[in-house]
Amino acid sequence: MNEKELISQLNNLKNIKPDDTWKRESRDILLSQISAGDYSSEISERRFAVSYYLRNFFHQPVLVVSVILLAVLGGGIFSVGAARDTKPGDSLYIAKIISEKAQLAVTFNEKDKAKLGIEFAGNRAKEIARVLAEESGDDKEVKVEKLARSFKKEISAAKTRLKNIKVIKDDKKEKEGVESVQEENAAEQEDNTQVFSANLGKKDKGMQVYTADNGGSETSSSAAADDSADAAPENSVAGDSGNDVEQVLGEAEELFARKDYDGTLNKLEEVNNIIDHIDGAADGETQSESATTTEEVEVLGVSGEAGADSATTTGDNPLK
Amino acid sequence: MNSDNAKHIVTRDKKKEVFVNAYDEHFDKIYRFIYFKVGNTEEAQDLTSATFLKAWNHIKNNKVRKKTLRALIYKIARNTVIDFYRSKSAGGQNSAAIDTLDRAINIADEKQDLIRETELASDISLIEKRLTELKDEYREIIILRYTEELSIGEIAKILDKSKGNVRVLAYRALKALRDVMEPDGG
Repeated sequence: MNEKELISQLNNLKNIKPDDTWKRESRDILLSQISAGDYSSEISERRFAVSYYLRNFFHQPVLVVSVILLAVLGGGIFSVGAARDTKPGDSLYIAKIISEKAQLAVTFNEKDKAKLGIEFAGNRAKEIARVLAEESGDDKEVKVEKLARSFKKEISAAKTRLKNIKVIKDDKKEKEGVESVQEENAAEQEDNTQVFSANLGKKDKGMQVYTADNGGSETSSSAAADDSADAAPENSVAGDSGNDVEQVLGEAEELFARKDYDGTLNKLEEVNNIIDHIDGAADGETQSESATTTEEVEVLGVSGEAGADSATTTGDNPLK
Repeated sequence: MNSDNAKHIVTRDKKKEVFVNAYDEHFDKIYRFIYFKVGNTEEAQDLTSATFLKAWNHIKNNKVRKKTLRALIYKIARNTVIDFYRSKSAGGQNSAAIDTLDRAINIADEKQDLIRETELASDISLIEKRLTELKDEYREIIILRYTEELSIGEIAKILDKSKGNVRVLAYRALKALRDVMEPDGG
């Protein structure tokens, strides 16, 4: 068959059309969603996502459940915002807990997950404060105890996640330190070798200081001194921040045991701030995966670059 | 405040109008595009609906030009299909071979339906079957260029490639199709 015929046949494929009934129905549905306003159309997007993802998630029941929960909660049956301030005993409290669990289930980034867990622990502390302030009677004790247990669970779960993050981060740091040495930018190169050598431990830092002391030219020794000075705080933010976080978490737990709930909340906030400053190495994995976030920008094909950017950001974080 | 609200409503209505027009104009094309990618009516339907919903969400929050709207919707469709396959493999089906086999089987089934529905039955079903033997990239560009007859420039936008790349790709794809249509090397 010659080319002309082939092309004309390909052209004829235009005759394949969608089913009329379905077309009409989906048009109606879509138009009504649009008219109903922003909120519902974003919800429905999730619903459509649910129906076809759902078919393929049969092997992952947890995901199915959490997606269903998302659809239910997002379906506007009640606003989750209204559930936010509830405490045990309120009717919407269950919704709040379910939504917390759903949020955890669909967060794949370890860093964000840890922060979420800590936020929820904070919620437990808030609830205890409210129960103590507002309620009376015996079940007050029981409730407070349950909440306290839940708080401790969240905190220890967060600790585990943070340990995991540190492990992933250290691995990635070493890898990235090696890779980025190959980059053109000389300044960056220096920073990255700093990170790499910072990870090799105190011995090497000692070596740098040593060369600075005995060093050859003035510029190189001052550069080394500068760099090791940079490396030190950097190391303490990145490498030791894992320990910092644990320390503050420990302080939060202490305050909690002493029933200083405000203090506990403050400490937890501090923890989340520290976590924010841990470099985003752990982010790289999930960001490049997900093109499904409703970020419009990604639709225009920027997602590839966004993923790559976050993956190559190494430990250059200046101490904020 | 009131006039601000009014202005907001007017723009939103305008956007609705733009979107609905685009919807009506491009619906069949997008459906077809997705259908040739996934090979199955049910999924094509779901993904088409999802695509237009995403398109609406995008339009209502961003400035869009009518001229580039079609390419945008194609892009969204493309990404939607990509996400769909990603989540599919995450769900447990990991072999790409199984996927293609599934699709070939599906298309063969669809073929049966199509034979009943269209006059140019025999021609279409053969070429469709051959199309599934091509790799995704080739099938995609053939549909865009020869079935939907989009311009090279527009295809370049949709695929995020240069015009030159697109021309070469189209040429190679067509050649590949001819090769499978005539296995005796005619």
